[in-house]
Amino acid sequence: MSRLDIVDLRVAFDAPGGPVEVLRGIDLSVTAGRTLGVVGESGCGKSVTMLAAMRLLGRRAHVTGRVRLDGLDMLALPETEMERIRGGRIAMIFQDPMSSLNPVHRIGTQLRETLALHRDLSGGAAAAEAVRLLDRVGIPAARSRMSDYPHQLSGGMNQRAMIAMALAGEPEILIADEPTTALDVTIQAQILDLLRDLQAERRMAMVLITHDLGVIAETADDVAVMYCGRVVEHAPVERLFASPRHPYTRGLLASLPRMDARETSLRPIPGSVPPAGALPMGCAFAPRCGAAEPGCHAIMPLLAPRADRHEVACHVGARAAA
Amino acid sequence: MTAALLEARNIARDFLVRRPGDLLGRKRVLRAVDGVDIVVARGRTLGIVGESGCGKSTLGRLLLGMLPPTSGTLRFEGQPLHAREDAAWRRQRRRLQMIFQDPLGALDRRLTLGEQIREPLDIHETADVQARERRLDEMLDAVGLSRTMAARYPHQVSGGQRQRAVIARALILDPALVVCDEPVSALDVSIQAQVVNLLRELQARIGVAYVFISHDLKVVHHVSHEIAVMYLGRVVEQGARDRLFARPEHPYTRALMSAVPRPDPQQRSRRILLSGDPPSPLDIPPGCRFHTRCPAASDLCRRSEPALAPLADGHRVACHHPGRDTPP
Amino acid sequence: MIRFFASKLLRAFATILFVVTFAFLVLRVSGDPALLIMGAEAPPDAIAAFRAAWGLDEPLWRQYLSYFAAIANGDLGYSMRDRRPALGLVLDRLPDTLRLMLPALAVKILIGVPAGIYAALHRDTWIDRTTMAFSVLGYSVPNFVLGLMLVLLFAVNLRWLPSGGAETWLHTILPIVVLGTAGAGILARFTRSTMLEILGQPYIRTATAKGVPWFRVVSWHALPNAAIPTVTVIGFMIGSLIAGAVVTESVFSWPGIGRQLVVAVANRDVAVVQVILLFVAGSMVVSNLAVDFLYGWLDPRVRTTRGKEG
Repeated sequence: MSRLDIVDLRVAFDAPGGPVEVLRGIDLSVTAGRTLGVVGESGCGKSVTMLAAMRLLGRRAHVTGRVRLDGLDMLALPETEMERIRGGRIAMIFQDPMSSLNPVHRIGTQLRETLALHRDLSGGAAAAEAVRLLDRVGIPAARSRMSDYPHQLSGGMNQRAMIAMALAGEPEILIADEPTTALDVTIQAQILDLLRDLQAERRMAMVLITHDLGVIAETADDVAVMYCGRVVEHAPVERLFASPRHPYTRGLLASLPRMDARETSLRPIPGSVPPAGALPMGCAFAPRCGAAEPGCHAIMPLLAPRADRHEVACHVGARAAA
Repeated sequence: MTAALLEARNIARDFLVRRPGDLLGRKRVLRAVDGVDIVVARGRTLGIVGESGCGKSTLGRLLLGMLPPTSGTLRFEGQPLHAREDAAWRRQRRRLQMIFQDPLGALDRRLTLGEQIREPLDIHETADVQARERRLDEMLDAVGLSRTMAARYPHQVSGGQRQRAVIARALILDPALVVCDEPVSALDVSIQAQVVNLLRELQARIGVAYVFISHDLKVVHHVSHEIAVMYLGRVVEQGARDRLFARPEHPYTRALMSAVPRPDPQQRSRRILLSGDPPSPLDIPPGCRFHTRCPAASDLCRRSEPALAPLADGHRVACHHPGRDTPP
Repeated sequence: MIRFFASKLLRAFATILFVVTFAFLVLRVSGDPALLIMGAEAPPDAIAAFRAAWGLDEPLWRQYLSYFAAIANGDLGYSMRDRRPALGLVLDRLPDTLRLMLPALAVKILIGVPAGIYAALHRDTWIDRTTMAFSVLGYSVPNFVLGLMLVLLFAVNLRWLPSGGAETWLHTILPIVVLGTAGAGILARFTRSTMLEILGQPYIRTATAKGVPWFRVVSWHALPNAAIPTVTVIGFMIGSLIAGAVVTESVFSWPGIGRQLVVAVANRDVAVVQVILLFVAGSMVVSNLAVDFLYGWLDPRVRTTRGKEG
């Protein structure tokens, strides 16, 4: 039973006026057989969290904290060890399937590269396994698609090929970063269905990063809501949607247009997200928060562990729940 | 029944395209919009929804007169829609405005928001300078931008504020119709809600009509009085918002609605999954163009293309077996 | 694909026709070869005989047409000065030019491309900044300035290398360096920016995220993509090799077709000028065709059509 624990993860990027902190202490964990949904608006740090954990941010990012894979600290491993984990124990898929596959190499070749790296398969065995994987992710006529280039396939088919490539290393954890954002809604439904099936079938842990609360509600078991580089609420999915405790989560839900509602006006969150370099004192959400108290502007609320596993980083929300 | 503001009759638009990869190959005709009838009433919103490649953006540009139709007729306020840049065209331009997805691309980086919002007044020289300034103030108030915000340049403000400026600029000449193509798709949900609310408030106050084009069924539901669903260049279903959402008739509309993820974990897996991808607009299937993916397709659907026809209650659908998710 | 190249060839032919016509008119209108070759003091009847012999007394359009009629018969004309076939004269000199140009091209590619890649991989370090400083220096110093400076240093002061002529391989070193420097600088800069753009692409992140070692990410995932635009630039360089010979050959008194062109223009020796121009235009056309062909080979998006999926 593998698990990934992210502890106090912080990331700062070099900028002309000094480093800018975009992740300000993230704690998350993922366990086998469950899907963690990470949700937030652009710039909240949801993608950066996973890229930092996988050490994919490059030299301009300063990463501190701990990322433990079954007790192994990934941030301290030598690069060659990380290469074995990436695509092997932990695989990733990304937002835009068209540009996430290499345009000059065939689908089959790219798939076989992963098989060679992580399963030591080559020749006929690799080809057979590649076809099997493409078939599993629902690509019709898998054998002939092997010799296609990414531009010859649709966005949905490319995302399936990406998923096949992620499965090729038989990962324990699959990180899906906005996997359906670039796709049409009917194709999104197909891909989400596929991801859910695969996760159940392989007992993988899955991290699903998205801005879409609908996708979260349909796919996740646990949810982390992020705002300005911090997790502000963390709960099992039913609890989060049934009784959201953080004013930001409530605001997000209230601002969603719903197809079943009649003529109710949307209730947007006033103002806009402050830039990472210029966060206010105390709770970063306080200036936009209807429930803010004087203390919120001075003291940053922390995500306190609770018996009901519904954690909220809010002075007001935590008191109300207690 | 209010008088028709914009009326499109059987409009179609072809593009000549090269097959990708074939640099010198024969060009082929791509019919992006194929025989569409649209009526927009004064002060109302017509939502146009569909997935990528369904022709909704081309339709939007046809309705604006930015693109001449290959066939069919367009009338705006009773007059033929002018594609030529003459005096009549200028008069129509004032009454017919547009808002696009990317507000940064729609704004000039070298002018302040205020200058750009006022620009249509300056171009059309509608009033003296003081009156124009007063009008600018009114518009800034209406879209919720402060005077200090108006003095900033596009890259100095957030995406939501930019889109407010674009809306102010579109509305400053008091148009009768604004065609909005994916106006909130680039915005985060909390900002999206602000802009959607703003568009609705402005409509209630000044009576402007919208054509609201989007791939997002939730947003379209929220802003529209009437909705047209497009698939591969055709309108497959059209009707009043509540009728459409309460009882979608076309299997495509039904699948589309069921595919939208709902923010409610209790409502999982009620989806109608469509198989495969939409066909290429260069390769439209014979018969009903949806039959290749339709869960309710019959032999009839493979042979003959259904026309968009009214049901008993006036709701229009282009389907041989409306209301079904399984073959008859 | 065949139609694609047929249209390319047709356009190339039109280009060459235009170049040749333009050169013919400019040379004919700007000076009189009879006076320039015979000398102003030559007896008038000798000049008249020269004119009659070369057809210079006929109207310009007749000369132009008979020039092309001759070309159609495979006759590229005679040099008025040497009274030998122009093609032979130029072909005699061509190997000497190539003896400079091909090594210079190798210098450009073998220094420029690796330097660009290396700088990109060490972006914003002192390695990158130093490489780029040399690159800017390389392509912003004009050929003749660099040539003269090198001659002053290595030939006049240090006396390590000869200042001009073509007797030994030592004579080739300075001209090759001069010819190679600018191109290497341009290629380094171009390769660097191309590499940086490619390294920022999502598919590079995909490759890293699936555990591909960095060396292979660069060599197998990034380089083939970076090669596509870089090949275009190298193609242009190959096309302009002969044209680039003019200045350098003059500085180093190198007996190639660059200097031959200078002399032929001075004498209004049309046939020789035209043959050289044909070589120049021809090399550009051929290298352009080669680039198009390579594009198809390197970039599957050009080569293959979008298939029907499902």
